Amino acid sequence: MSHARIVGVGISDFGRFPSLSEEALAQFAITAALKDADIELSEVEAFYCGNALGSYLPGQRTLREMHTKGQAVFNLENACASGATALHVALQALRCGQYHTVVVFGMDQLSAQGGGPLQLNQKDWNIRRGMIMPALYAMRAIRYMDEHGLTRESLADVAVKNRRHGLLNPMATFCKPTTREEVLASRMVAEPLTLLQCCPAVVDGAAALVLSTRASRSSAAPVRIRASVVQSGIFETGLVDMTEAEITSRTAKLAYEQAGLGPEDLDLVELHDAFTISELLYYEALGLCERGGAAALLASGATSLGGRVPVNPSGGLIAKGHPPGATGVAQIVEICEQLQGRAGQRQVAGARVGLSQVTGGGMWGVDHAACSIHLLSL
Amino acid sequence: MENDDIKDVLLGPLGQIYSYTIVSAGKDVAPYALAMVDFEPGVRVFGPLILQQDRPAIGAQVRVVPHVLADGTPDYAFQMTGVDRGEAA
Repeated sequence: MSHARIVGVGISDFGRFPSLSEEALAQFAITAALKDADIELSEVEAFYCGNALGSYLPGQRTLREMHTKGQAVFNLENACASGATALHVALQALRCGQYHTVVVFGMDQLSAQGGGPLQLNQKDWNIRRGMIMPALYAMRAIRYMDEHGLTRESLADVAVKNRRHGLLNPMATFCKPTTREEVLASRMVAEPLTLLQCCPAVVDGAAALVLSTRASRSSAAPVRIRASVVQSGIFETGLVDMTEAEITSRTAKLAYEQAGLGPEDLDLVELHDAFTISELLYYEALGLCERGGAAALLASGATSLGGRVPVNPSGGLIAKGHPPGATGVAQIVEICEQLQGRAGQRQVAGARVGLSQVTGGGMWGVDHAACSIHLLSL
Repeated sequence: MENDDIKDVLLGPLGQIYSYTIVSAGKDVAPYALAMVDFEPGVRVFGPLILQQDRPAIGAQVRVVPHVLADGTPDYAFQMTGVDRGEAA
């Protein structure tokens, strides 16, 4: 089996760029990643594109104007887990020796889609009954508050922390500083979640990785992928516990087993904080604390920059925004830059092991349709 | 397929709220409530919750009532009966 390493990363600014196209955003990220890797476009044997909201053939549309020479392009859609899924599939080809050097990229342009929560499948019965993603997470929050005494203030503090981190991240152009009081006073979306507790719905962005089984030519250290796992939702019936993130804990268990690592080994985490409550549920699902302990972990400062295991040092989805195709790849870019010691003002000192987690898709009867977790180290 | 545990069951008209939310979809849209409701024998059901004077609460008793979706499809909704879990117990 060949050892695939990440040898170059690139990311566009995340923000509102209605005058650009999703292709242009992706071209920027790909060009930056190739430059970082010191690799020519012609050396890339295949491209893996994660995109959730654009139309058909996003990868080919992106690469046409870059004048690629007909290399294979794979378009992968797994809702908000599309980019991470693209990385997983690319690794398979590298590990079996089909290709030596590939590019993984992801992008979406939400400013081209109109505002509001992500559009869900209108044939789904519960969506016809009024379900939107913020409402699903709001119900999880209300139940969690009842069972564990979580307060609205603790929920708000997740948004304050991630925006504080995001202000140190130059590509998070949509991020503004905020206080607990401002978070709680912002417009109610779905009780108890206010607007500033939801990741911004209209943000564009792209991210790209160069992976290779050949020796790295980059000035930055190559990054090893210690675990790469994709799982799908299991149809659950009966009294499903809404305070448990079933698919994330299942995926995390597989990833830790694959890497021979555990939550105690993590130096940083990039996770899917689409809503404040999501981050708290995922602390527990990833094993950063016991069930019911998330608010105490947050309050201890352990998950802030400077703490034991900073969570979302990039600012996460709440600070950066969430172009679904880009999100999973952007998390990997952040972890690589942290492990390589080039994360600037948000650098996690001595970071050796990082974990990324994304979930994808609102679908009736399952926790989430997809989840992907990667574990990275030098 | 491992779906031996999935079968049709008849639910009584009364259930208890497991969780809920009130959605404020925008300036021009009236807020609406949603709930997950527990029924005997161990079924948790999602649906619209009719907003009345009483604030929704976990443990509050609801009744299943006929309801029409925005697109005209006949469906169901939950309506609070005014009994909370303390009185029900």
